[in-house]
Amino acid sequence: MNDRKARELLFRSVDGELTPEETRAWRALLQERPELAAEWEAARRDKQKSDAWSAALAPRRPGLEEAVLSELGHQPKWGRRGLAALAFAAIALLCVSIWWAGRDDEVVRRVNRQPTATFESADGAVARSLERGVFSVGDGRTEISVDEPTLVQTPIGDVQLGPGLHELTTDPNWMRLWVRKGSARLRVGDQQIDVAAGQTKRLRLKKIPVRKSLDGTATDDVGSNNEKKRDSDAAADVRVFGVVLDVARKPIAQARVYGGPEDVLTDAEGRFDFLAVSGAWIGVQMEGRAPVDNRQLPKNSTVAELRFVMSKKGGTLIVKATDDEGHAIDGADVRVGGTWRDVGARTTTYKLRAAPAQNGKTVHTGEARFIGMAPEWNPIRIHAAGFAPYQGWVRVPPDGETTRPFKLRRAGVVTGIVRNSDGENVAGASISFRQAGSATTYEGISAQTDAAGVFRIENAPVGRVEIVADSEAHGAARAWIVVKPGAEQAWSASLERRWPISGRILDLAGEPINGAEVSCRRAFRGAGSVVGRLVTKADGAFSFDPQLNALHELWIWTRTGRRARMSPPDHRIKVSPKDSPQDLKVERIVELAPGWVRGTMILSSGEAATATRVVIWPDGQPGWRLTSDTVANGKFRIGPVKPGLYTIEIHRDGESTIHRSGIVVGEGAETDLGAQQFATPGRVHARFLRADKTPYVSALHVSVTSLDQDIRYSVKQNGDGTALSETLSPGRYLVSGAAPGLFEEVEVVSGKTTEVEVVVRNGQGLRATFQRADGSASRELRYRILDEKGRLALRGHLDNHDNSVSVWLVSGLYRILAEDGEGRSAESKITIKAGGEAEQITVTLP
Amino acid sequence: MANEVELVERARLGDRAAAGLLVRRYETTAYAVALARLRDVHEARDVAQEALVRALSTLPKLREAARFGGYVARIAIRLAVDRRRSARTHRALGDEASAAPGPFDRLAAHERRTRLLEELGRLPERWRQVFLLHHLDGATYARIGDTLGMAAGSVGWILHRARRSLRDSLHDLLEDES
Repeated sequence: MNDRKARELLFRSVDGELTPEETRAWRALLQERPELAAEWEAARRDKQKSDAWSAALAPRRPGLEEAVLSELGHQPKWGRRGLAALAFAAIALLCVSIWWAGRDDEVVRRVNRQPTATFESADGAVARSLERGVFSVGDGRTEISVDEPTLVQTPIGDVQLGPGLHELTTDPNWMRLWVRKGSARLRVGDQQIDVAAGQTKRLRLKKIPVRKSLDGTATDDVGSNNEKKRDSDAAADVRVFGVVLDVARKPIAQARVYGGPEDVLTDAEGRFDFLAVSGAWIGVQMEGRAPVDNRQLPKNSTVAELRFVMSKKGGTLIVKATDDEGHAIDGADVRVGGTWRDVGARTTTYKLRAAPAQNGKTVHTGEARFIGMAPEWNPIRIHAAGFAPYQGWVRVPPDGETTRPFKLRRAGVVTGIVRNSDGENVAGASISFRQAGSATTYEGISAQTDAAGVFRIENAPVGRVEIVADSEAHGAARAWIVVKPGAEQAWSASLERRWPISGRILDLAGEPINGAEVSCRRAFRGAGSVVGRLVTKADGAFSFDPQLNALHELWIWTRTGRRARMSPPDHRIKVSPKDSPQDLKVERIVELAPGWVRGTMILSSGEAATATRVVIWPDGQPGWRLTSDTVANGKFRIGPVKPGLYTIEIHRDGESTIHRSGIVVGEGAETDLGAQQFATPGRVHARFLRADKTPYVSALHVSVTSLDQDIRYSVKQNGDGTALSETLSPGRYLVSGAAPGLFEEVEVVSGKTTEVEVVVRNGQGLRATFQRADGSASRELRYRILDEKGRLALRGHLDNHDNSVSVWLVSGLYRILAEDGEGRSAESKITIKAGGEAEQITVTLP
Repeated sequence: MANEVELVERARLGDRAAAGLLVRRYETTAYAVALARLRDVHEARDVAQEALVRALSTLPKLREAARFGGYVARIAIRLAVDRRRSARTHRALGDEASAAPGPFDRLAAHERRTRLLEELGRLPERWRQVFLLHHLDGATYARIGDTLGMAAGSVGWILHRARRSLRDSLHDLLEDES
């Protein structure tokens, strides 16, 4: 399999897109190229991070549906057909009005807000208009005239009426519809009939549904002759009804529908009907059939009609377990199915409940028989004394009997000692194994260390497996080991200790500060970096849960309350859990009146700059920032901020960015920046060329970075090897892209376009390995690769003991700077040639 | 779950329940492609709403009911392009993230969103579309390919590169304390 195809399988695997055939191919590939497992893990982490980041952009817009429907209702047209329908409706309305006007002997009620429909009921009740085109009527006989498609909700079902005249009668057991003119569809639950002009049809209800009254509350006829009103809080319930069918569209009885307060079984006609909480997940499960995808009930509806189609029952699966020499294994425990399967973690819509598991035991022939499993891929687990456990997938045949042989290898033995970083034995640490190429743990194969920190596992899986040692008071350690059948493999782990971060916040005179707000976060990490926050009591003490020994940062506000939190932290102190700070003496910030910064923004064209983004942060303290926008006259006022020195950055599309540092904000004062005019922006037009001067069209990550302000600007890439950046302030910039290490310096002049050619030169791969002097890997590490002029070619972050990175750099001399979470740093130099084998370098941290 | 073609046909006949289901099903798609172009959550939301209204009100023009998702996406992209050309309207910080519990959390959430949008803005637009459709709308490769008119095989590559690029640029992202 070529590399491209392998990568595609990897991506599809990470995103859960593999078909069963691809899954097999992927597993085979992993056996062949185990190095892909690490790449898969990295890609999966990227996906998880992206999921977490994207949550910040999730569309939070309750009521969009209503807004759209309401806007649709006020649209001047509903397509061309709509125009025709409206014209017809107007004429029909006129005719109907004239016709009705002659009928003095009957009560005619017209819904004022809805001139397109009229209702007449025997008892004179007026139909309720729910929204445009949707009405609700009560029990009894109602004559309805409509001139556009209309949905009429009755206490027991819905009727879709086409333009025309209709007579509708409802009763607890049946509905009758007489269509005098036009057409209609009558629907209750899954029962539905179409009625044409001149026909009268009666729909006898197979099951009396839960009735819904006009005010939206539900009533229940079952077991009672009289309608009994439910409590108003029952309005949050959703009536769920529908049918479960097989692939031949025949009803399935006794299928278990779950999602309500209790699971319900379908009746002989495959029907179900129950109440569930809005937003609940409804699914169907039945032994011998594949479970059906869950569906989430709508949150703003009181009725949901669902139809589930289940697979047909599977055939018989015979699992035959043999040893290496083909001898049957008697008494092996076999489990098929049962593992929760997440086929759609990528969506919020689908989840699958596991197919019910079946357990079996092989007999003297080595066979275990499974009847009526779901005809699909099912997880299988085989445990037999003296043999290595087997975990994998097996396909249950759609019909007939199929024998699947499984050859079990003799178990391996893994022994070892678990110690902590201080060399002490760790008792009670759990040892488990994970399968190569998946995150699946070998179930039931684990051990705990004894008081001496020793463990021994005699039924260990064989081959390449990941072994994990974990303890509550320590971090985890994991490693890939190769276990041979029947052989003993030793593996010892050293677990990092966790240390509490605690101490007292004191003022400079040594007095405890009461009410200081302390937030603790990992200094090196982005997502998930906050360990916790608390407010000190009278003794000024703070304490956070034990942490691994990585650099942390304490953000301290010596005051509490909104005003304090709206300001940057008063103090930011880096601490290492191992050397937990005891007493921290900090300056007590008295309640200084906060200050503000104001100004007026003017476009380069001279007009007031409205809707311009203004961002402010304390000088030299990125990570905390406050944002505001200019108003109609271009003015902005940003704050409140603690008195001090600040940096301000002002952006607007189409204009160059303004960046100013050293802005002084005084106590209770308002710093006026006066009128700030955007400079007429300059442009950079970059052409990426090969050495032979032909366009280099695959240049990626093109960016333009200001050398004066250290701001990176986005660039429009044209796909033909050229890129354009249009809103640059005058100054010096670096154009980079195509490959790390490739830079071209340009001078941007106001109102002019600067042309630059970037010739992509050849380079080499570089594999950099970072390790401590004792040979171990840092738990987290940040690296930067600079070219000989100190320009940033690449930067990155490694964690969880990943200690190497592979990159491609264009030829040149580079400096590699590394810093780990415990404050160690190192620097190495390397020369990258034009072409040839990848360079290797080891950067050793002290 | 109702079939998409059936929903579109019912919506064509004026069935508002079907139209509502279509809105629910495609609001995130419209929002994601609009956000990829505009990089402003408020405007993207507005465009998503407008795109859905327009798509539903011009259903007779849609030849293949099964392509409703792509139809909505195209309209959203066109509207976003128009919106970007015209004067932009930003909102003050106080208007947004009302779901966040306190002012500091609101600030942190706002900051994180702004930073993410900045970094997303450095990616090519097609990458942004693929990334947002996958991570916001949960769309599969096939659906993304269908919506954006590209080969499903390319989706994995783009998605992977976009994530890697964001990982490199966002590793120091300040995390909300909530």
